[in-house]
Amino acid sequence: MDRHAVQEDLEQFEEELDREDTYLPQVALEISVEELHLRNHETIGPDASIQGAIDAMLAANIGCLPVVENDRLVGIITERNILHKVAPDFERMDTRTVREVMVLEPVSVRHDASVASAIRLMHEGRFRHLPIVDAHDHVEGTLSVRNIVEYVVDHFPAEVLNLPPTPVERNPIQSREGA
Amino acid sequence: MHAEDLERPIGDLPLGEPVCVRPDTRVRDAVRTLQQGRIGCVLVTDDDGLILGIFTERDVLRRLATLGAAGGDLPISEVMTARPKVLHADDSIVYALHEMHIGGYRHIPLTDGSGRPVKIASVRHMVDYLAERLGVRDAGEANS
Repeated sequence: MDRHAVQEDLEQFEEELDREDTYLPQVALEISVEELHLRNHETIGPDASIQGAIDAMLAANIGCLPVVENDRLVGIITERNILHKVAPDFERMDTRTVREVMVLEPVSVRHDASVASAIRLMHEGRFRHLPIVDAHDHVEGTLSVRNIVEYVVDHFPAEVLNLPPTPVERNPIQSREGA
Repeated sequence: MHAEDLERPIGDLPLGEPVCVRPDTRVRDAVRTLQQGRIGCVLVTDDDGLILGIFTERDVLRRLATLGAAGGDLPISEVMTARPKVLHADDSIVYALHEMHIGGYRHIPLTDGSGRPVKIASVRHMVDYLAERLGVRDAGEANS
């Protein structure tokens, strides 16, 4: 399916969502990806080293970077790419380039698409990240599944979130990222 | 989708099966397990099957990118995250979402009453459930 057909398909999907439903679809329809005010705006060039990509991902605390060349989205590089194509051959990370391991022509989401559309794209494509592009295909950032989780939690009634679910003694919460 | 959809027990969802390794497993072999299983984490368990730690894709980048190739020979017990957050099957989906949100976790093990892992809940499972409740068809159905 080409990019135009994907856009039409998403618009039809949004029209068919049950607007009478009481909770998430209405909210999800009203909010665009752009309105989530995501903080992940990092990109990387295809000639950067794998080590450089890892450093950038860890610094930004994100598992994926859009690869941009001549102001155009040409690929993405993810933790999983690196895990499967590079690790455990870690000796050569500073000489191998992003271009060697990136996924070409990734599916992206328009910044004015709804959150519901983004959830659908992630579900159907088994993606954990989607590059966000404007109407001219310029990359604006990255949407991750964690952003979706944050969005749902932020829209859930606070009184429910504050209730302890079960009176079971638990391990102390670890202060860490990205388990 | 209704609020009650998110108050269902997390154990109702089709979650992942835990893959467990021993604490003396070398990091290099744990990475291979992640690669071959196409999974995002392994659990480190003791002789009784109790969870000691978790080792994730992010840990591969974070630990080995700084330790270099020599890191591959370390026992996983030295690089895992010890005593990870766990859930129980009767915890709610929204509680799991909340824990993932505040802790920044992408994977949380579910344990039974004795502390042994029974499932793995990931953000992917959460998004799949949200998509299902939004009426999104499975990719297979969409293509048929």
